[in-house]
Amino acid sequence: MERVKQPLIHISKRAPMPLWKGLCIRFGAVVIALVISAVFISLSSPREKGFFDFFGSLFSGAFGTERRFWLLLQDTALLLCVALALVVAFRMRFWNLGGNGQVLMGCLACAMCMHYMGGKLPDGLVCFFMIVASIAAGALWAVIPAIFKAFFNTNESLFTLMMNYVAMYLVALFITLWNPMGTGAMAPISDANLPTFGSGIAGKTLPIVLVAVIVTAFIYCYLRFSKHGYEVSLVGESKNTARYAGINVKKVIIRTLVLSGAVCGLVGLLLVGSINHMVSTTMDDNMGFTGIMVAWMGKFDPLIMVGISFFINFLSRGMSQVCTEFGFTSEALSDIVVGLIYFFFIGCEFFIVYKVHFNFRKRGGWEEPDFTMDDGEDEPGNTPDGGMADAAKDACADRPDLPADADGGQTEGGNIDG
Amino acid sequence: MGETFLLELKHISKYFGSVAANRDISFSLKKGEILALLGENSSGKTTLMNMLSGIYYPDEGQIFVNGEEVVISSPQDAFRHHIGMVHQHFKLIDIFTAAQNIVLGPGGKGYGVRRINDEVRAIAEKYGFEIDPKKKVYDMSVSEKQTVEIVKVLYRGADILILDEPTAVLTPQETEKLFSVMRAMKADGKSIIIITHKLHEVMAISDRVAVLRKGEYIGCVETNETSEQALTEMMVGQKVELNIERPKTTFDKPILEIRNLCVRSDEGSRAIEDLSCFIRGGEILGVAGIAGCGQRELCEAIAGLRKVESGGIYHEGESIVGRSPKEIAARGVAMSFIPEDRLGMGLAPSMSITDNMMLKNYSDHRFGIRPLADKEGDRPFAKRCRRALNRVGAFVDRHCPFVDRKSARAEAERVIKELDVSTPSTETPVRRLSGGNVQKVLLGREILTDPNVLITAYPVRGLDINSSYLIYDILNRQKRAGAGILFIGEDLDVMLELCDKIMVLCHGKMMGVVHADKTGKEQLGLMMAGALDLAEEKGKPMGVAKDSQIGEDGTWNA
Repeated sequence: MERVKQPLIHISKRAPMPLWKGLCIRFGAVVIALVISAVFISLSSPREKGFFDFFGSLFSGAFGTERRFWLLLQDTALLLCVALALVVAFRMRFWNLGGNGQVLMGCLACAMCMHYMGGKLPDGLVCFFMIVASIAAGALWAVIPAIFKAFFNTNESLFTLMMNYVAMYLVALFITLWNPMGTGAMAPISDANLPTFGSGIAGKTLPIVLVAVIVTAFIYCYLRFSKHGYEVSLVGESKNTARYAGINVKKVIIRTLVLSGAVCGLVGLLLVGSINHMVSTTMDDNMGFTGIMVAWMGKFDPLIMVGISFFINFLSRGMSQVCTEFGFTSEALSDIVVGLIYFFFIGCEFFIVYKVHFNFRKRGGWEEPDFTMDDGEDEPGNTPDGGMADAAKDACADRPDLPADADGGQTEGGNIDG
Repeated sequence: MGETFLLELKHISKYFGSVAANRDISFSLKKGEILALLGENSSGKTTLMNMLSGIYYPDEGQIFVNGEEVVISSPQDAFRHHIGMVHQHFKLIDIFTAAQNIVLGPGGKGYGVRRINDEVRAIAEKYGFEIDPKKKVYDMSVSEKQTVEIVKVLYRGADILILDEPTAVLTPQETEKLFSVMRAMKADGKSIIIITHKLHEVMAISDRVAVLRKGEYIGCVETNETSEQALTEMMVGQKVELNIERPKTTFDKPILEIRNLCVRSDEGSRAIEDLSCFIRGGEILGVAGIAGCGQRELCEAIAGLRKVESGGIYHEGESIVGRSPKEIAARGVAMSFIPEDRLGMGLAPSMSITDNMMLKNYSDHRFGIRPLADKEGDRPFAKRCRRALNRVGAFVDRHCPFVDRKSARAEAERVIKELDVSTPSTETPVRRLSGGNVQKVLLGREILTDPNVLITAYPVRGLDINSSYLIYDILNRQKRAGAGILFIGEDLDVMLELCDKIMVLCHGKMMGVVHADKTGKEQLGLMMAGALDLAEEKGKPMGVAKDSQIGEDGTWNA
């Protein structure tokens, strides 16, 4: 007689859970991740530091001094702006991976204005040109792939990605033009800096935070209440439906990417004109990619994204302080810990969408645990709009034990019925 | 236990989140019988069968094969217990031959071509299949593909065959052929579970009928002791009138005329070839044809979503070829197309009902700025100022950047109330609604605009009986109001009752237009298969109205 073997782990879909419960799970995941990190860091530290020192350093790195606090706000504001720029395109399912390039082009355009006009024209006029040029340059870098997408249906992900490198080398080219010594770095330009509220760190950061607040409010309203926002979502949903609604799809694609690039260009303007007064090839600080994470983790909602970008910057600033205080010379450890926290934070989405049952009933034994996954897409109904849920789904949709013919159609959006 | 069943399910449940797809289902299958699993859509038939074939794993309950408890957690397990399923959507590899597809998969006995061909032929001969083992799948018709699927399951040694809605894609003649094969398999001792929701097929083929309703097992009856009416009541849970009304209306002038229309499909092949037809106000023209015969392309061409290669489409005598979808919609041509996945054309699935309501008119929203009126005795300067101000006001008004969710919500509420849509709120994303409600939302929005031509494709696809009748009712109401309706359908029985005329398509060619009350399923079936071409037989062009609104030069001669 064949032994009856129950699968050890059985996964099924949950009913949508209330908001507070989901928040508790996410918060719990972060706490667990931090505790594990703390143990890991304090054990491997060459210095005599304990478990609780980890949390002390983490928070002091982020909020310890007035300067640190304002820098945290500044980084949050910049990252948020980039993420908001991307989310406009993402809502249209246009995967703009060229945030870095668009920011860099904004930086470059701003630096060009400062370099060529600074000192020759009144500062106010130069500032005006800087603003216009940066925004236009960012928009240009986004609209080129958009035009190709609209008219020739090229792959926007690859196109925008490649544009990043073009932008980077353009910046490198201009730096060598301006600094023939070949050090690859540029001296700060003292003319034509954007206005600040006083000379302190708070006064310098406040305008940037203000810009971020305005951009957030604008993008939120744009996506939520405007006809343009409605068209963006509609084109993202289905181009055919959009055409049926009388929308000129090409126009919407191009217009949306102009906006997306313009906001990135604005970040470039702030980076050069207000913060650094010079340009370098790494000035974008990879925000174009971190912004993608912010957008997805924020479920494309501008308001949630505010929290996410704050959280991400809190971690990275806090962790670098932890590394200094615990005596690690390499940044790698900080990256590992940040990665660990992301892992928990994103991974917990799986448990928000699915329920896991363990079968420990001994019925004929379970020496060979059989990892049966119920793929979650059974029902178009319950999937939340989160990308993380999709990621989790991808992970479990991969069933190596199924022959090709039995998988496919049934798992992809099959309904309960026939 | 007195009698050993071949297959027994005990207290099977399966949940998707809070939704119970199957709740506490127990039934059994005897050796050598054909059991029909009957139920409306979303009643959990396919979910249940997927648990037998190893695609899903039940949350609760036990499965017994030959009296012994088994665990089926993968399709291999299912095959080990000789259970084989033919899915609704075929799972064949297009570039392989029939034989190659058949030997693929677990438990293969090697790949010797000649031996496989012989074995396949042997199976085919035994049960009366018609199959050419060397034919590639991409050359096959739908019914041939289905044959390959069934032979594949038999080749792997299945004793229990599960057929998931096998007749949905077949013409009446092909269905009859399938049934004779099923009877041959039954005579050989195989047991078959056939999923369907067509009652007359249940009566024709099955020995017993198990009925599911909303995920629950209602009961099992002997086919020869029941009737269609009784089964419907089990399925729906209440008494249902099974007659579709066909109200008499006075037919108006041809409102939509199509002449020698040629349209290409996405792949570039001719999807519609030289098609001529017309719809009068106050009539329902049915379009019959097996799936993928150019129905989709026809709809898209009329709605302005697909390029017309040649030929003309005239609305009230005016050509609408080359007009934008918006212009065509503004003339009163409305389309509701329900694709196979039920979402898609005309709806944005993750948007709310409200947002879907404003799909066609969101851009018309204005601030509502009224121009200032001229006053008597004003000086010319004041007048000029006021005029300039009015011009600015009108410009701002025209470019109002906001959408109007408030009135869209009111429309959504109206549709929900009038068509009895069951939804938690107007802000629920459309894809969370069940199939029937999605269709009601789509149809409701199209009707809100009071169209004079309503194109509706598969409006009852996947609907339960009550909702279907509600939809027929809505269509009849539009018909009485004088709209011309193009009804693209699947179920011939329904079309024969509902439509005034039926046009039959076969691979994009029109095979003829017949009066619904003067034809039968036999004739339609032959035409669908391309065996009978009335258009050719009568030797005169069909589908051209005598009182056509189109002049020789294509202009309107009213």
